[in-house]
Amino acid sequence: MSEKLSDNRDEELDRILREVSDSADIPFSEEDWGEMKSRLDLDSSPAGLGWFATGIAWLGSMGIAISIALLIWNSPEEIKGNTEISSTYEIESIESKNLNQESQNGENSEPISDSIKVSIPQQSLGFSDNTITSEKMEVIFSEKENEFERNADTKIVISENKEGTQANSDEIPKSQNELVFSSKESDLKEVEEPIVMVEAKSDAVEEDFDQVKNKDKKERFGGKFNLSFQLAPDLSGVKLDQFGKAGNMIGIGAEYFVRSRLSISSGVFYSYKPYSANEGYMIGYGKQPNSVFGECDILDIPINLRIYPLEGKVQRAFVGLGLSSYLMLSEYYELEYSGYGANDSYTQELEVKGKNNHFFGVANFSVGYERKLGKTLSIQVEPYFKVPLNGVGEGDISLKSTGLFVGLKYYPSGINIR
Amino acid sequence: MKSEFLEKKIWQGLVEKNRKDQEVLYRIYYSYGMSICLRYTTTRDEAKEILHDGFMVLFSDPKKFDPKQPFKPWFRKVLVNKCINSFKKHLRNISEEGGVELIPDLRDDKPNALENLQFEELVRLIHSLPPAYRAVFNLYVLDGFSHEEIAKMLGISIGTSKSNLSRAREKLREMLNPKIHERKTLRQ
Repeated sequence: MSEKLSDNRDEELDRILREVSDSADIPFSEEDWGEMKSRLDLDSSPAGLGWFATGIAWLGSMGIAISIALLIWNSPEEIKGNTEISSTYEIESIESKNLNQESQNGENSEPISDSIKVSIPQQSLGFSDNTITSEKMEVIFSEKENEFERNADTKIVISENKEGTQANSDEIPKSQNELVFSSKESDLKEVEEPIVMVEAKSDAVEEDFDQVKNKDKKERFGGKFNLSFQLAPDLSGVKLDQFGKAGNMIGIGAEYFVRSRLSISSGVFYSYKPYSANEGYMIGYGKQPNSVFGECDILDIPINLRIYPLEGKVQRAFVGLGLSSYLMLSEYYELEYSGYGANDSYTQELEVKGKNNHFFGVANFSVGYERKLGKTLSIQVEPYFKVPLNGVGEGDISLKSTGLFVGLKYYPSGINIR
Repeated sequence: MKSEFLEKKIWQGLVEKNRKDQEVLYRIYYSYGMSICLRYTTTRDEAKEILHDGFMVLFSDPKKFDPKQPFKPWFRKVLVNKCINSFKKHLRNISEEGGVELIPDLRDDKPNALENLQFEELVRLIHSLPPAYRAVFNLYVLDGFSHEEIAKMLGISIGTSKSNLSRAREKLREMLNPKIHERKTLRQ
């Protein structure tokens, strides 16, 4: 740089420096290209796929999850084994009659005060139509006092009478502690659906039936309160066709049952939501951006009502509805504006921390499936959809989110009677 | 550079995410892009990151660029915007850290970037300017933006932009030839 340079006028100085700048010849760096290539590889990985591919993957996963859930739900395990019969059949009718009258008719030689008749759908016991209509079947539950409740020595005896002899309660040896289930061909013909008859002494049966009910309660799902740990991949976008890069949600939840099939759930969830959109970001005044890329760190505090319309012994399904409060921990936006020329677009970055909170500003919708893993643990999957009631964040965007929670639920009190 | 326009074949390759075409483009515009980024940033690594961000704008969505327009001005604009965003972040850090001046990392051991001595000297001079002067000087003198555009980009008034440019020139002259500058000052 010569002395002359400093004496030049502004334009001359500018021209010389511009020439120096434009003449720069920076040798190519293979190392730099390697890094660029790695970045491109990362970008073309599944996480960088478009919303369509991501959506397809999600739908596929959810389809598989639902199919598995349905298969499990319909599995016959609940009616397997003698200890499970009493809790799985549907009692269609209970009819009491005075057995003294029967005694007077000579049908019953023992002085029994009452009897109880319970109709059980044939299929609940897992027998085929052919079996039940062609053959006499007797199912005897014999038990000693209190053993029925424990289910330790309960046994089922199935006897076949191919001679077609009319079943008679007298034919079956009865005692104070014996329940008799009998199925007669003649009885089956009288009703549309084949039934199994239960006859027993009322004093014993009333007590035992209470025990059956208690047992039935004991084997129902879950306790009144549970804690959960949940995480989910999360897709966010302003429009439903603009879901892109996946974010995530992770947190803890708590749930309390106010009714047997109705609960209130809440929790604290940290959520990272990246998204991009061509429109929808609103700045208070002036020129609006053409597109926006955003990354938000959010604390999501939901309060949801859950209804459990389907419930079995080891599994159940629910529908959830509620509101979330979004505490925007940090927001980062890249706003792209169009310039004056065709290719004159420029970007502006915006970073906001802890400025925007939206209390009960987001509606939650979800469905879920829960399956028991043990006395105190269960696993739950819950596809969800969140939509803001008003805009969220610095740009008041309608940031919708969807995802699939997978979580472990812990019942501190174990499996309670409800 | 044979043409200011991007070859249609290369652009088509970018649209199809063809890695070979991406590499060809990267090789062609590496030096050009790096020379812009180095002027605005304080380290070579930072310059490289911004350069890659700029390439990613094109590689991830090539249709953002209209192939009927010259490529260089568009790419320059993308890079300058990225540099300004980075510069603003640094400014915030400086104010948050109590005005600690960033020290230019010109003795980077990385090969190639500053081999051209003339350019290296220019970069060193520019980095010696206070950040606000440096940004305006880069934008106005070396990248051809108007004071109105600079004011919008940096969020300052047009007057401040002009004033900063004037002071930047004065500083540069002072650094280029301190003795002459001293004489001139004494004469005044």
